[in-house]
Amino acid sequence: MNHKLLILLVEDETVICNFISTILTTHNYNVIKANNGKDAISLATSHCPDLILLDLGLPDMDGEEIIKQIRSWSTLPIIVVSAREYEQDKVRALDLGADDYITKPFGTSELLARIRTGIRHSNKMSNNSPESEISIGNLNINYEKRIVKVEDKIVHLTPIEYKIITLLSKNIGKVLTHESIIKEIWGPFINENQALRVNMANIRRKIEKNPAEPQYIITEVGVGYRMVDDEG
Amino acid sequence: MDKITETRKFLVCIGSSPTSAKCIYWAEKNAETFSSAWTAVYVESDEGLYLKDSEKKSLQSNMELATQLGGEVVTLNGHNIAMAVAEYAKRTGTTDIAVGKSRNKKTFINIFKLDLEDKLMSLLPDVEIHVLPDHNITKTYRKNPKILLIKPVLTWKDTGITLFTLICASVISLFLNRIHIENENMILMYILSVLIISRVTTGYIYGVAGSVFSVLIFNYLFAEPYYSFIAIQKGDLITFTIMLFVALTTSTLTVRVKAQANYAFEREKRTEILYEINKKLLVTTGLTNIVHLTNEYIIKIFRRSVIFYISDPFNGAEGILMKYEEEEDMDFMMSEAEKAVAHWVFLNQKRAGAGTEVQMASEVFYIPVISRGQVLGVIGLSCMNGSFIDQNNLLFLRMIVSIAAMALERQQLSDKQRIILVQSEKEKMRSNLLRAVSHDLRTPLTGILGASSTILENSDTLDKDTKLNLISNIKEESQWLIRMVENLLSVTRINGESSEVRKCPEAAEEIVAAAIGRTRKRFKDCKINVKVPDELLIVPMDGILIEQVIINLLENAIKHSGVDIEINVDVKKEQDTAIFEISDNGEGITEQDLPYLLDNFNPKKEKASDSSRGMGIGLSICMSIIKAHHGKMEVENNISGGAIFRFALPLEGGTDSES
Repeated sequence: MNHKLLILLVEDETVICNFISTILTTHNYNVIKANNGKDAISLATSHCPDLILLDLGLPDMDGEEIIKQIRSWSTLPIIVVSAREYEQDKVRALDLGADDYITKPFGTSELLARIRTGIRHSNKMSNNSPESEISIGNLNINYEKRIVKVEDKIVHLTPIEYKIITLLSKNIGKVLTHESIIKEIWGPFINENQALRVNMANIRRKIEKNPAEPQYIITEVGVGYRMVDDEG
Repeated sequence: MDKITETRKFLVCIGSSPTSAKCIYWAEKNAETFSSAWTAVYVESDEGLYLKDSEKKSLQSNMELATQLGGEVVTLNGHNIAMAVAEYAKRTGTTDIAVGKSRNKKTFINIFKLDLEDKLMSLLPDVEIHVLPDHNITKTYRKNPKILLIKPVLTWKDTGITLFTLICASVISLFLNRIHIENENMILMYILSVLIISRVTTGYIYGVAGSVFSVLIFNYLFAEPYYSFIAIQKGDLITFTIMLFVALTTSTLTVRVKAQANYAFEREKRTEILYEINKKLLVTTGLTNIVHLTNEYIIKIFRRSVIFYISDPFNGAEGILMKYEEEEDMDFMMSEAEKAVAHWVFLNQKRAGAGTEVQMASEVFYIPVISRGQVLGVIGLSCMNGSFIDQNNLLFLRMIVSIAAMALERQQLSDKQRIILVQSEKEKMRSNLLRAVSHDLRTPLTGILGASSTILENSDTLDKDTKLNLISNIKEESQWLIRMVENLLSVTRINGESSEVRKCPEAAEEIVAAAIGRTRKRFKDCKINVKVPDELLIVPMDGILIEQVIINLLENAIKHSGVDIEINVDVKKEQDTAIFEISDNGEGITEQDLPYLLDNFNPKKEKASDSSRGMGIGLSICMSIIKAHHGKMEVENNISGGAIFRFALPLEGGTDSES
């Protein structure tokens, strides 16, 4: 497929808007810009972009409102842009349907990596053929056989640990909030935060060389976990 | 009347007579005209001991009236009223004295006695004596005839002494008779014994009885016919009269001396107690301690339950009640009705309650604790069953209250001072931070501005490498600025007033990993070794803030260690704390900087802060964050070179495990 992907950039700061669109255009994306919520929604409905970069600090509307509206008719990937401290906002946005987030100020490589991940996942979903296995670095997960290997050695995970690692790998590159993981694994009515930490720690000790220097699953402080993909 | 500027001092002699009230009003009126203070003086002489109840009451109400109208009530002691008043007047520089016209019947004795006003005039030639007539001419008021109304006090001891003395006298006299001494000496013997009896016994009765019996015994034993009572001669009458006179005089003297001694003793005891209270209060700190001490003393002295309010009960404050052990149910002192009276006292700065003219139905007497026109508290004494506080005790109470007032004021001032100190510390910190931040912001911004203008203005002449260099400088400075801003924003996560953070249980290894990850993004080539305990260590913390701390420490280590550096991050658990250690193998910290590093930033202004490049702010923010977590942070030099930064976080205390 050779057509250029269309990205809707929603950002009210002109300077930032400028440089992001410059980067995107340089990397072969088409860019349409909106600097407030209303325009963003109308542009999204009219142009059906492949991905939306949404700044959470918009003047007229709450970013969450925009996400809700777009999610009501589309599953197109949404990446939210926000400042570092407001992890609550990020978590809420992710729980409402955003796919990923990026923190201001960000490097261009990080931005591009996230965009690629976002597109990849949306392709996968529209693809509908589930993968049988996935390999990242020295980690290999075979979904059919339900075997996890690190450096070709089989790793024994408990059923919960397997579920978690599978969930993360199926959303590789995307951040998953604590809450969404807990909901997926344990169900919606239980608050198993402690159990999640313990399980993550165990997984780390099984697949990572140094649990304090994880290669595969990194922690997004205050938000959740992310399995690192080849994009970086 | 107009206010006259001449200074005068007014004094009024009061007693139990109704004229005293008139004098008091007179004094108050004049004192107001002259804008001066006035005093009401009551002289407690021996007569005062024998006042009827109705007279005591009217004396007390006179004193109350004087106090209510704004005068100072002073009680003097002395046998001679005029002398006592004169001495006081001289001492205090009184210019005017008011007395009520004496209305005594001119009896034989009184004819030669000077009236009080005359005595005063002769003793105080420079003072104006004002005599206020009493329009009520009927003589329903009469001075006590001293003797007849005195209740005789009979005790076994005194009876014994009387009998013993008389018997001794008789025995000695009989002996003298045997050796043929004349009768006159026997008479003298009996006079002597009457003297002794009057001196030793209480009251007049024994002296008088002694005189009578002496005469009778003398008649019986030594007058003809012997051993009979017949033939009382003329001479006996004279003897008897003389003896009686001696008895009375001596008894009077004795009574007076005893009264004075008692009074002096009471006075001394009071002064001692006041001194003791004052001494103890001087070393007492803390409002509740002061209150408890005062309450204790009041109970000890007045033997009543006491309640002390340090602020208006209508503002929600509860008084501190201390019960006198012999009084039963004292809960009524904390009732709403009583609180209302206390509230009134707070507002009006006047006494109220039992025994006063305000809220008389109350069973508690309230007195305000005032210092410099401000009510610092209210003290209430229980007056159950109408046992009001008399004037004497009231004076004493006022003295104690004024001591308590000073102590309370002192405490208030010290509390205020402490608050001011804390606030000024905060202010200093804030302005220090601002200054340091502004300074540190300027440097990188200068760099960015410089580099970008250079490129813009010389874009044709500069070669590509130089341009790239300048641009990469811009990038570095910006990253540095971002880090600083993040640091500052971290501070806002710490609640201003309470300096506390919202803690959540986090996995130590995750936070450390995240921090290292971010640092690696910026400094790609540095070597960081990290070690965490095998067992998962969960620490209650604000993850973002602690991540910030670790990032700060890592970047610090990198900045100060040159290029080939190796940084070690070590996390371990020690009893109920989690210890995080970040050590480098760089140059370490100079001895002189070591103690200041974590306390304040840039204490040494001579050292160019460019070289330290905001090390101060980063570290001080780390310190604030750790402190807000109730943790500890320290720094030391490694023996093998380089510095170790260590912080510890308590494993206790965290909120709900909401992510």
